[in-house]
Amino acid sequence: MPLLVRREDDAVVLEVVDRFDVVTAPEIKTELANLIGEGARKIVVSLAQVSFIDSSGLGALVSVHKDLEALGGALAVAEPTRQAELVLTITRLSSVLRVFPDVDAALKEI
Amino acid sequence: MAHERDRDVLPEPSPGRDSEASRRLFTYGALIALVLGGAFFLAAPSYATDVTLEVLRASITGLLVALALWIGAREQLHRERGWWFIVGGLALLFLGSVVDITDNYEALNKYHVIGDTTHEAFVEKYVGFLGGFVLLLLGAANWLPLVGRTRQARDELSRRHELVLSTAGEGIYGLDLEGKTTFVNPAAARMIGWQVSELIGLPQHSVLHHSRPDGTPYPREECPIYAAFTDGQVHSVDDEVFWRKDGSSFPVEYVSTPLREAGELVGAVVTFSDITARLAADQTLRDGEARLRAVLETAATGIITIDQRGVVQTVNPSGEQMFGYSAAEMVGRNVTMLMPEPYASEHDEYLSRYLETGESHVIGIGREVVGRRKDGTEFPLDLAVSEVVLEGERTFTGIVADLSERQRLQRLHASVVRVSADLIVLADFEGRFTLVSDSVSPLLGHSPEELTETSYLDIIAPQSRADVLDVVARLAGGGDASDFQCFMLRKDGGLREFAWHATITSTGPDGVIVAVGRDVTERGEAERRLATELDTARSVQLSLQPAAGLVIGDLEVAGVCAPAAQVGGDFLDWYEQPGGVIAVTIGDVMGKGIPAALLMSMAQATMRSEVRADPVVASDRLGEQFSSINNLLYEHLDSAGAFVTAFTALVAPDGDVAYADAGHGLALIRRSDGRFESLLGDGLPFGVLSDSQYATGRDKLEAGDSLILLTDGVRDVLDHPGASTPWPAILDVAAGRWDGPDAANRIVDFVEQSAATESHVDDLTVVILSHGLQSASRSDEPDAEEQQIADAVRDGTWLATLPVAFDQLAGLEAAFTAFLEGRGVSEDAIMQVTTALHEVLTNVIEHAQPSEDISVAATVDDATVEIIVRDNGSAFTGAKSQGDEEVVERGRGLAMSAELLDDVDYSRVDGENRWRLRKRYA
Repeated sequence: MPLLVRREDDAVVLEVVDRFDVVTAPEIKTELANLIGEGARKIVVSLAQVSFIDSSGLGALVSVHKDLEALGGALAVAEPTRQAELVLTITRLSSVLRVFPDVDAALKEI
Repeated sequence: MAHERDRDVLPEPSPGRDSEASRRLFTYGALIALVLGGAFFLAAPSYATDVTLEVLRASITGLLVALALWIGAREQLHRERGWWFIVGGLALLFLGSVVDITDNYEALNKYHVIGDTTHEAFVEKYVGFLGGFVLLLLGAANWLPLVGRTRQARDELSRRHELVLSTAGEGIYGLDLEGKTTFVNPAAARMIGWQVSELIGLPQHSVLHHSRPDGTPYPREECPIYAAFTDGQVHSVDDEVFWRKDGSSFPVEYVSTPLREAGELVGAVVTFSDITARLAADQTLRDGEARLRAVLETAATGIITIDQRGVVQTVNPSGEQMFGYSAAEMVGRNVTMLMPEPYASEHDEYLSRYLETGESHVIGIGREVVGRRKDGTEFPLDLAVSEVVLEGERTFTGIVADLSERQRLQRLHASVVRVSADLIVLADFEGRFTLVSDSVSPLLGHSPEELTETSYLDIIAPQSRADVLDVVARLAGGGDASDFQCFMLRKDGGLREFAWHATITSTGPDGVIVAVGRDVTERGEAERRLATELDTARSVQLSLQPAAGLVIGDLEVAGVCAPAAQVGGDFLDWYEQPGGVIAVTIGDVMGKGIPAALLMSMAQATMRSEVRADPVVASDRLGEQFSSINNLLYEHLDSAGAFVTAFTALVAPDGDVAYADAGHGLALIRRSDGRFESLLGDGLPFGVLSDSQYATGRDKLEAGDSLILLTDGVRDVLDHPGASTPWPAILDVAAGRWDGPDAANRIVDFVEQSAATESHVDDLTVVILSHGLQSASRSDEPDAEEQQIADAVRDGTWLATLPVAFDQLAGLEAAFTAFLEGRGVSEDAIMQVTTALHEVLTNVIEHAQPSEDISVAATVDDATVEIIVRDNGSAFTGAKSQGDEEVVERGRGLAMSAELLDDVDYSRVDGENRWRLRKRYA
């Protein structure tokens, strides 16, 4: 799975690698759900290594965002690529998801 | 079987006023006839020469008149018959005149000389006329008030009879002596499905009684209905059936009563009713009785009935068993035989007091008393008495249950509760303890006495109270037994964690919560510590593994590790060495869980540092380095009783492979022609022997070859006993294609799905290093592809077909991007158009699900990119807003495309979906 997970204090940083699209989104969503199941409440998803994100990828992020909010946690999206930024903007999800230029800023904020 | 019983025969008809009127008429008639006869007799001798003849004639005439009158009186029943009198009267008048004329001639001829012929003729003539006239009067009297009253009464009676007949629920019909139907009431006709008019005159036996219940013919001579004719007895039968016109039958009860008139049998009246419902009710009653008997016979409780003197009437088997007497020994004796003193002496008193005053101590209420067995032993029993008054006789039914076993169990329960090390509590739904086991003292410092009747919430820590109340509410609502944990308060204020198993005896008002708790404070802490350690170990393990695949030149390495436990004993590693060499390692620590993970981490770190330590000559000295790794690890592994298998390969850019194997033995090369070769080493696992020697093996990866490293978790699943296919061939199937990282993922997925158990028992690790696939795909097909794109760029038109599969999207998009780049479209526009195209194609694959490849055509001019997507899938019906996540997502994808582009048009042409996408980029 094109994913890297590491822990930063009480937060989990998840780095998605390569494509985050209709093919990989279900797996990534499952992985995020597993992390939440294991107790993670603050999750930063880094998109720096994502070559392409589509609506399924965004759907996965929104779904996890909702789950975490319901549990009193938070999801942050960090380091979006230009393409990611583009789709976040045109879908107006950048106003729903918290997007940060880098992981440290995201960790500080959530 | 028909049974006969004597019953009063029906009284002869026409009693009361009717017969009185008849008698009166008869009397009048007889008097008139006598007067006429007497007058004629007195008158006759003076005129007749042949006196005897005249007297005889006059007497006969008088008798005829008297007879007619008598019949008239008898028959004075129906208005219609009045006509008969008139007709009879007229006939007599006529006869009288004819006789008179004849006689007159004869008399004139023979006796003319002697008497006054005129007078004689008058008498002769008018005797007949007078008789006829009287009859006429009688006939007319039917319409006269004199007999009108009689007639009215008679008609009313007749109407009433008819009313009774027609409204009777029972079927009633009459038979003449031949067995033919003379009358039938509507109820009878309805019950047998005939019309009244059809039945009159039919032999009733052949209509409704032709067969027996079993369908065999029922000869008329055996029929009890007809027997009434012959023996004159009333026959009553309730076990036969009557047959309907449609051929069905119903059980019937009937009474055949002989009908007499003036003492003579004239037929029979049959009354019958359908007894289907009654039979069903009888059956129910019999079932009920049988059931009751069965209950009595099999009841676990003793059931004894006594009369009001205390004498035993019946005892059921449980009662016999309980007291050790047979029923025969008990029945007829006083029930006090079953009681010890002083109950026995007091019983008679109780009974007589109850009979006198109605004061009772046991009736309607259960109470615990003492019984006495035949052998003299006494035992506790629960007694409930009910009273039944049957035909003025009181009967008492005692239901007795032997409590000795229950009391023994209660004592046993009490001792279990007392000695239990776990905390056992009973509580009511109000929240109060009703029982607390003695173990509460050592566990929580309270004594059982001080907790009983107090609220259990008092000893539950505040943070757990809501949880406990939830559990109680769920149990009270009928929920299943529940396991939960909560924190309890010690008397000294300390906090203990308890694991509870709780259930309730019933949801009713007398329901009790039963809970057994165990102090798990230590275990809970250990579990939390372990969970933390596992988390730590997992993140350490993850951080040690390479983050992503590695591509150097023609070499690409990727791998996947799926640990069986949260942390595993497998490890994999790859990194770049100077000179474009890729070092790849796979290893397996024998053992699982944290110890294995820690040893694994240590082994991996050691290997990495050792192999890296001498990068330049590493490939020559790999075997030696394995020996020194073994020396470094040996002591730790030996003391932990563990060992490690490992395989490391160094692959140079040209495909040269140097490798060393520490007892791992699971390294293969898949040649481009599909053959598998094992890379065999002879080294022992690390940690088995100190100073083990390892050789450096060599091989070469040609373009299209793949080096595959596995751990035994994968091999064990693929190479199961009895498999007919050699496991590398299954590996081929599992991988599908040997195209780098995805193949490793597919293999692990395949193995996970194939594993017999849901969670695989061993870690699954696969590393694949492929050589030349990149260049291979760049040198063969891509040449054509590149050429295609070059052509497309030149023409400004790009055509492609896309198999209906998501994993083909990336390739198509890459080619499309290359095409747009070649035409000088700006980077941002390419990104937008490609993203939009991706969304449309995703949508088509997911929702339209075409059966053939999707065709994509793109044209670019100086300012505009235009794309046509065609597929033969189902028609697009718009994104429905059902709140369905999938639909919303689908809507989002298309909305995104619309935002990203200038135009998105959809049309359906000839069973084909067409998407036309346009973007102005300049």
